[in-house]
Amino acid sequence: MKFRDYVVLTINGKTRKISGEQAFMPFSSLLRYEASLTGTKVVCAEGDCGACTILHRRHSSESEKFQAINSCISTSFLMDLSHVISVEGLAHNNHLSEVQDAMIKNFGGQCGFCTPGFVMALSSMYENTTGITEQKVKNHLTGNLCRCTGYQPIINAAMAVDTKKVAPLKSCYNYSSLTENFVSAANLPVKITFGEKEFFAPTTLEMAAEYKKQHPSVRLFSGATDIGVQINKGKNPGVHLMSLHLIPEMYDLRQEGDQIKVGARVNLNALQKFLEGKSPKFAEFLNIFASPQIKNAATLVGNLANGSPIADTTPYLLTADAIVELFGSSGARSVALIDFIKGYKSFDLTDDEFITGIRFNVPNTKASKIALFKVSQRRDLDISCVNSSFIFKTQNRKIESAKIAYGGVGPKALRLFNVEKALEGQEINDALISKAKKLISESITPISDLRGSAEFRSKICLDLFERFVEETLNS
Amino acid sequence: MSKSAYHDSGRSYVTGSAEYVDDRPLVQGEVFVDVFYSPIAHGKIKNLDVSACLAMPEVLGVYTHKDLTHNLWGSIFHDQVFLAEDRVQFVGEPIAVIAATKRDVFHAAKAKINLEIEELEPTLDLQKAIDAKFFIGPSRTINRGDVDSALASAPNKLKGDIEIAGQEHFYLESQASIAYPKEDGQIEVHSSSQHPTEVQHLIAEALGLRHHQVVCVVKRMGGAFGGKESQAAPFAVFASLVAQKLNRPARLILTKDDDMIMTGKRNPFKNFYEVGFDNTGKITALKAELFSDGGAYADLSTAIMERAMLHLDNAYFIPNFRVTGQVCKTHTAPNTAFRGFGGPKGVATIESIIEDIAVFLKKDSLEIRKLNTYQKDQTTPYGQKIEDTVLPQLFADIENQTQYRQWRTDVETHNAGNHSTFRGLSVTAVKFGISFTTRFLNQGSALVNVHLDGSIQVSTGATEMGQGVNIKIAQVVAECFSIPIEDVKVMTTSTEKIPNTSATAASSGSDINCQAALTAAQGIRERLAKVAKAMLERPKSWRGKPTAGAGTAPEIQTETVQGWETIEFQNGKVFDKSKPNETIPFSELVLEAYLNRQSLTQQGYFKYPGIFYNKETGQGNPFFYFTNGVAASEVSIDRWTGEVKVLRTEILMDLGRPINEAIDHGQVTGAFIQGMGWVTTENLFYKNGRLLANSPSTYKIPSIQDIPRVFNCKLMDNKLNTRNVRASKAVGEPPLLLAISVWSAVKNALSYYKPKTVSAVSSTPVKLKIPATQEQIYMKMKELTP
Repeated sequence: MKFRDYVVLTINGKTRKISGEQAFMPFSSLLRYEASLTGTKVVCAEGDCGACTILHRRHSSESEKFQAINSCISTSFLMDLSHVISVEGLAHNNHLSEVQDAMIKNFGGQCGFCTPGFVMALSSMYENTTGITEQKVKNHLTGNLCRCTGYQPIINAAMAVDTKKVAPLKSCYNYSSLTENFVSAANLPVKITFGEKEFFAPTTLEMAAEYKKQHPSVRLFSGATDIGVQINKGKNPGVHLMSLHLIPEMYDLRQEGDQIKVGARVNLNALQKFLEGKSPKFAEFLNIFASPQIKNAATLVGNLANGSPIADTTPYLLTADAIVELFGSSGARSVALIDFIKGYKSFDLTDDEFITGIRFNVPNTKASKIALFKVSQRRDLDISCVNSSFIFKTQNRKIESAKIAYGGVGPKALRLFNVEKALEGQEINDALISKAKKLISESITPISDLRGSAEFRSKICLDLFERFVEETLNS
Repeated sequence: MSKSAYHDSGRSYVTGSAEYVDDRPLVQGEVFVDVFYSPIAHGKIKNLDVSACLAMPEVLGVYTHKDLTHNLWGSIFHDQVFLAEDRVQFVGEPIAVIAATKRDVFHAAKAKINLEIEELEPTLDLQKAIDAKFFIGPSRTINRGDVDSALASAPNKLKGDIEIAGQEHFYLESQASIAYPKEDGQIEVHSSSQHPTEVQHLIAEALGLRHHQVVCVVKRMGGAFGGKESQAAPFAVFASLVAQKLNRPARLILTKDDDMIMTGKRNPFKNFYEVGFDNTGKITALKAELFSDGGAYADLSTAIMERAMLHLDNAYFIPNFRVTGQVCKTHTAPNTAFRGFGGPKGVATIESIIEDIAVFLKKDSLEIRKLNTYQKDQTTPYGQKIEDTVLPQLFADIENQTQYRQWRTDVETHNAGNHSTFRGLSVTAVKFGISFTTRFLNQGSALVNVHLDGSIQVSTGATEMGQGVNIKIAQVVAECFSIPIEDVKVMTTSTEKIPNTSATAASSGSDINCQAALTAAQGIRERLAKVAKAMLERPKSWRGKPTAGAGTAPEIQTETVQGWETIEFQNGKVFDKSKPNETIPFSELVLEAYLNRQSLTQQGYFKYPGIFYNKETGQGNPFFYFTNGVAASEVSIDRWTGEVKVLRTEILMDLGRPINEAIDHGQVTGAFIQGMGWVTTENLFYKNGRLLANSPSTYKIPSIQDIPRVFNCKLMDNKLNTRNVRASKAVGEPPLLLAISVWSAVKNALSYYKPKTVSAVSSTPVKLKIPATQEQIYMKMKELTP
């Protein structure tokens, strides 16, 4: 079998082949220290500040639009078959982009360290949306921290941009001539080694399963929005690293009957757009999930496979009776999510298996009463203290079915079947609600940590339920 | 000339070409440096074995305190070690410095250092330090009147305490230094520092050099906020140590995680008070004891305490007043300067007291504030006279401009309705004293160099951290000569150009350095005016360009030129008022001055006049002037979760006549939001003295979604202020203190909170800590629910 020993990408209109040590670097390091593009800044190295924001587009994606991602937590090999624009690549012949110009004229930069990241995030906003409002600006800049301006001058800059003059980013460079060798490269699996490390990108599921069988400790990379953080904090991801980005089925995203099927490489931004109108409550909830930069890279499968008891999508998926699709050397297998999560970061997954996708039910929005909650120190771009999902069906005042799940209340996210059972078939009244609250109390075992005390978590879980009853069930 | 010239680095920022320390290209032989630090809060070092670390092929050296010539430092008291000797006193205290050929080996290299420590009982809690009298420096007092008898006779009294947590600076660019070894043992260090002179001096002392062997250069900082006033220095010393040892350039760039663990924060405070007031709400007496958590070493904490004490009165006249202040020691990173210095902790205390008085008397807190506001010619407890009527004016203006009565009614109407949220509204003020309270720091100098094409380079002791000091200096100089702003550049700050500087701090950077630059520019302007006067009186054929080389015309003797005062500089041209049509282009005049042997270089010097403060008696005239402001904030609290939203903030400030209004606006919004983070979401969470909230995923500064939904900032039209350079006022710190309005609005909201099971709101003031986190508010609501 023929392999590539490099990944190929373009940076500011120049094709670059990356191999050896460089392939394993955080992409921000490659830009700053190998390509002398020091405009991209690194502050937190964990995707929470946005100073490292770059514009990115996968060559094979249907859309020709660039999107903002965090370069500090993207390992360089993940940039395979991609186009990247860094802050240095926006201005041409000394002519600044509209966003750059507006940022100067509205005093959008004070110390300047966050400014390149804001310029890139704003460029992504104008690339991907129209009808700019202040709220839209805020939504697109949730992933960028500024400590100097109080944000108001940046909002002023964003609102001052003449959208008619904003050119699509694909017009920055002549991409058709740059990408001649991308097509042939896409058919070749990648194997890059450096020292004892090996990166492997198969082109079929079978190859992936075979590799995982040989190297059971292999780490799968998708958006790397968590593993990239771990690496930056000094944790060794192991020697065998694999990405499924060359397998076309992994980008699958569709509705089949009352189920939505999400492939392992579908990022949360694409998912959120897809869900609008189909599963509006979940789509809306994803608004307060992470930041645009994270959502443009992170996947639903990754949020689950990460195994965190506080992953924001898990409670909803539990209440939507999600099914996890697996693939291994003996073929495909499906398992209910509730059974898949066995404990803290522990799954029903054999050594040679990996997750290829998730299916979940689309609740009938007319018949169902749905609420998703997230409690966190800061509303946006924060890891939850607790989260929860409720999907109920009621007839008049009678509860026909109840689905309740909480995260952040124990070593794994919980579906509270005992509470559901106590509620089903019952009339909603104060006594029932009190009984349910008591059962919830008995079912959860939260701990104290920096995101909240056990007492706070215990109490607020009951308030979330009561709020659901009062604002959703009773309305 | 644009009143709001764009930030001089604006273009570099948006194109990514602005250079910060770690953006400097690597030079041949450059090595990377990192710091191995204490994993525990308090302990005795039994053994330190670095041999396994040294054996790594990438590691070039591991250095300890034994490698330094001098290991003690401190901005006020020399009580801190650069590198731990036989004991460690906080998690993050530097123990060893590692030099390596690659950036990515430090995690592994640090893991190979074998440190044996005998753990000692740490003091981690401020109250514990207070009880144990574990103190740093002396207790200070400011006293006026007879507070005890005034309290005894007061119709109403409230007694209490307020706990105020610290705050991480979260400058985006972490501590960074590169040291270049130069010939003859010299060191040139590029540091992200607010205080290049201190960096220069400390490197010299630590490495056994003279001051003149060290140059510290600061191009710019990616934010500082006080966190790089004293605490940039150790890292510059470490880089310099490696540069000296290996004779190779050495680069030390902290990760954000390590920076947050190792460096000090805003001092936490615990303030006890007793206040007396009459039935109208007029305060008759205030007695307070302020305790701050200095951390393990003194750093700037005693000066910070001083400023807290000097701001306990804030905007309010209190006839009988006694405050004592004491810095305490704990085994945490030494706390340090942070925008506002001690000011916010004094102001938060009195504003909280007033909020409580309002609840106690069932009055609107704005009425209490107006009743107690300083009037002209009243004096502060430390004896400084209030010379204007700005504060009453600000209160009146904000009340009118925001239609406060209606606003209050709207809040109460909302709270009376059946909503999932309840609201609060509060107006707070700031009266911020401008000057360092240590007199000798209030001086600065500048160097103006005019080049022969008429362009100008200015150097000062100011460091640019985003606050726009450089563009203000450029504007003042450009205006002095009436030339375009593009013709003036403010150059990289360097101790070889301007020595013996004070830190760019205390909001004073623009005041001191603009005035020093202006003084220098005025000196050159006078010489140029004399040359112009002479030129205009002599035949044109005598002008230097054609004749100077040949020596056919007599040289202008500026000493004898009379009547030069009528020379005008306007829009790049120079002329005599009596003959406005006969003009000389500025650049031609400059050349003529050179050819006639006139110096085109001048140093300028400035010190704030008339300030003095005796720290032992607590009396004096410590401030050159005050910057004042008020802010009204409305918050909404979620009944179910305690989540806070800031619905609206209206800010009104007196900044005199701003040199650059847009820059000042940016300082106001930025400082306010930073202060809002301090009083709401920023929660420094420690476990056994180790900061667990050590990155933005765990330490939540305000995001763009958190700013007030309606956010307006207006500047008061103040034509009466003439005290300061160009009649401007300092702006850096004061607006941060206005964010206390958000916190007191939370207090106000809680005073309206009525659980479903309760029929009337409580008239007992709600005790609230800073920050008012969601969890704290939630728990307060539970406390109020029987």
